[in-house]
Amino acid sequence: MLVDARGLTAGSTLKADLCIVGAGAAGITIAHELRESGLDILLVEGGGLDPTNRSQLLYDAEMVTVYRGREKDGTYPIRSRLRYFGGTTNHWKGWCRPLEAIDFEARDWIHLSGWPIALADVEPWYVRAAELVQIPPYEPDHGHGRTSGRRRTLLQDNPRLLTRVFHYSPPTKFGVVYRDALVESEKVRILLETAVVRLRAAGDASSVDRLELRVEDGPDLHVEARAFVLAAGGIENPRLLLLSDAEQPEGLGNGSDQVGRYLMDHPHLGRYGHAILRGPEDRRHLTRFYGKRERDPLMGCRTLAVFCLAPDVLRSERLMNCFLSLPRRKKKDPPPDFDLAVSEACGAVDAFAAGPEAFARHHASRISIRAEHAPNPESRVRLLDDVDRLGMRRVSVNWALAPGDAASIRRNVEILCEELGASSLGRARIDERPDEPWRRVKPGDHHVGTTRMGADPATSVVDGDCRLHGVDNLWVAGSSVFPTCGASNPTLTIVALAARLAGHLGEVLNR
Amino acid sequence: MIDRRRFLVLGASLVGGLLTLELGCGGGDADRRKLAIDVSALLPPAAAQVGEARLEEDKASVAELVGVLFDGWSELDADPAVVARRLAAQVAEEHRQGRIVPVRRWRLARTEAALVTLAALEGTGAS
Repeated sequence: MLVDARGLTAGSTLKADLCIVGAGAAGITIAHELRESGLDILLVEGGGLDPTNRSQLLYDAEMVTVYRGREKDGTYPIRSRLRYFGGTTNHWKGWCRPLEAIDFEARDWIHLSGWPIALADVEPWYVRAAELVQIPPYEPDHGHGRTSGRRRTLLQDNPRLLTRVFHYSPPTKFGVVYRDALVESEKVRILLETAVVRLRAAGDASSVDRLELRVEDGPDLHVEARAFVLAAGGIENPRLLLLSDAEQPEGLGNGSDQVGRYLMDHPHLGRYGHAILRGPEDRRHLTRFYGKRERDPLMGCRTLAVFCLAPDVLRSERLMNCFLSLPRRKKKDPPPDFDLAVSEACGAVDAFAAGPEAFARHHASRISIRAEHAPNPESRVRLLDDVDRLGMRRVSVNWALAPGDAASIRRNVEILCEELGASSLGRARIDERPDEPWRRVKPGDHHVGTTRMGADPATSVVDGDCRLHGVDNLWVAGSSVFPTCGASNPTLTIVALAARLAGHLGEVLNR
Repeated sequence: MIDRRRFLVLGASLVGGLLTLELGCGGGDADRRKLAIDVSALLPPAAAQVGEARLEEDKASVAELVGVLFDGWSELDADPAVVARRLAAQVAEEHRQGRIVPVRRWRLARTEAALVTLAALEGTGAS
């Protein structure tokens, strides 16, 4: 049911078995999965059912960044998330891919890499996540090139380059699709327009006693619950822990100074280079699968193929994951004459071996990348001294990329170029300059890693069950728990981990 | 782009090549140079355009380019079509090994860069 917080008496205490902070993909998934568990659930959302500028402005933050471009204006913290029921799924574009097995592994060339869980631990929950985000059923080889067969997979059997396939959610707006099920549930109460301003812990900070809530133009309230879940996103989750400094001055769960650090996003470079591919097919079909999101009737959703390096190559070259796609050049941006000359000349060289018909047609595309970057302690969310209109300290967000991240991306692209040439599929050029790698970078608007998961409390914030180290009844959900970010968009994994956490909480609270 | 006519010429020279005696190991410099020029002549005019761009970035002589093309070859067929096929395989292998020459940021294999540069030099007669 929906509860209007403004009608409650000031100072009153709401009680529940489980209190979930944040009604985005993670929070709604947990509430939805537990709505018939018998537990009393309170879902607290800072915004309302619809967006308002006034609510959105509470996401304003200081932006410090090493990269340039449109983010110079500092709108990233406001623009990249939405403060109302359904959260950021309200503007999600629907990109779905599971993480790769290697993404979970400890890789000695990536600082603090290695999840305390493996892909096999998450795979059962990817099955459920696929249902919740309304894509085709998850299979262990999910998207590893499986399609209706109408599209051509390039470089098949290439030992260095693999094809991976994104499946597109409709996209599922969680606040719309799952709202009725939650509102109609007698065991779920939804408290809107209510900000959590702090968590209060017991004296030794080993458990959370209650939450302090603030309703703008309304009463201050409290929540008492047996268990709490922070599901407010990769910026607000650490902010709330850092704000909760009454019992632990450095912030709740921040004894090792890990909360808010290791902020990751996916660097996107849409024009890393250009390629001209040649083949016998009409250019519309040559790389259609890799260049355009189109509905695949047999899969029942839109799909897009990308290249990535084989795990053995990532290991031997000590690289991070990176997805490389080949979106078609726009008609208004045709390849220059020189590019066509290169394609024609090199196509003729390839034709020495295979004959001219094999290279009769060409397809000009951009090389677009979205990549993993390494956890960096200086890439972080931290509290400022000034406060917002609710009296909560604002945050500073610093998304910091390192030279090693740029080098990894470049080598990924070089190997793509090498394989295009080696297979006589085409030729490519790299346009990004090594001395200014982030000139045109854009963030993927994914806030990852700020309450990282790990076995060691000295280098992580939550354990493998997403429970805060040293705090018995506080869990964290969302991409803030990812210790590394892989190259896949995070939503499918956020939902899978939230479904997994719901299963865990159901067991713990119903014992 | 190699057109059908050039491809037929290539095929005819292949048949002709069967009737040609192989050169001795390494061949003479003049033979190697002639073969290299014959192969580069199979490329379309666009190749010379790319080769000119390469020359703007890095000067090279015909002798140097011939050396690049046949680097490590212990024997040389007299037939340009056979040599061309072998050079195409060499190009693929160079891409795989990252033996790349950038030409206006395009990543060309060392051998194909030499071929297009040779086409440019021959086109301008600057040998």
